[in-house]
Amino acid sequence: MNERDTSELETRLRQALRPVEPPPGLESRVAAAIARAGGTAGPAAQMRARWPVTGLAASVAAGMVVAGGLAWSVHRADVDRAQRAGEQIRTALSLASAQLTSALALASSLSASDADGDLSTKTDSGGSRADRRPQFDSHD
Amino acid sequence: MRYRCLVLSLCLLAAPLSALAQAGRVQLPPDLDRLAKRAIDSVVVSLDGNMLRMGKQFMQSDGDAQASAVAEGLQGVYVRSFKFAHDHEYSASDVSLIVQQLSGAGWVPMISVHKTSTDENVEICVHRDNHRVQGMVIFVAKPRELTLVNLVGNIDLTKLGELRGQFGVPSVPDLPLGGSAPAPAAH
Repeated sequence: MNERDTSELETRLRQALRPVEPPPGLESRVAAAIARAGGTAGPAAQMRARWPVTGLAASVAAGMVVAGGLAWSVHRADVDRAQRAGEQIRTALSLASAQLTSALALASSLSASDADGDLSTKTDSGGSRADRRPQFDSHD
Repeated sequence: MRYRCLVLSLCLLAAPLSALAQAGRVQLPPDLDRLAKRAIDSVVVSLDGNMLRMGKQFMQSDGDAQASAVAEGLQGVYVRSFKFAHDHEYSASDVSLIVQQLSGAGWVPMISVHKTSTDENVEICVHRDNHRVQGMVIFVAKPRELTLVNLVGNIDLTKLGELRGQFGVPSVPDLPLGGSAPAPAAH
């Protein structure tokens, strides 16, 4: 290859590689063609297209987490309330049992101390309504 | 006019039904709870309906078979217990409403103790319907203590008695607690 050929090749290459401005409206036409053909868009466009679905899924997941948390806290509160109620029943039965025991002990001691006139005890052996009426001294 | 008659009839029907539902329950004086402010030690329990059911379920799940057997027939648990630092911190008027109710129809005193030397009064009454205990009241009035325990519902006194020695309560042997409620007193 001589120098003339080399120069001609360079000229032709420069001619081929010269910057060419796209004709007006080419970008919009290409985009429209892609949209019509269902062609693949770029990653940013894909993200823009998927955000409603992603947002919906995220909202559902967040809602489930919140609902689960609420359900757990309600369950926990119920368990706490049940525990408190159980303890209160125990307290009441304990008190009833203690007072019953104490009263029975007091009543059983009647036979020993009744002669002193210190204790008046009526068990459910009968008597008039007036006899059975509870009477308490005034503590005013 | 017809509507008024219907409402009146429903009210007349509802009155005895509500009274039946409350059988065995003692109406607490409205200002009884204010004694808690003066007391050095107080226990206030009011359990019925849903809370009582939850409490019974908890006791069952907790493996407390004996206490839950006693609580099984309960429809209401009401406790007011006050201990005071000084004598006579409460007045007779505070408890007069309770005493009046225990004197009323349906209530049968099981044990009634009045000890003058220590100014101690103990009343244990049961409310019976067809020989079934529908309620029980333990009322203790001492100079420095006022206790009212009202257990509403079908109470097995035997099971309650078996709780002696439970919950740290000392057992007192050879007491004539028996297995059932005593026979109704003669009027």
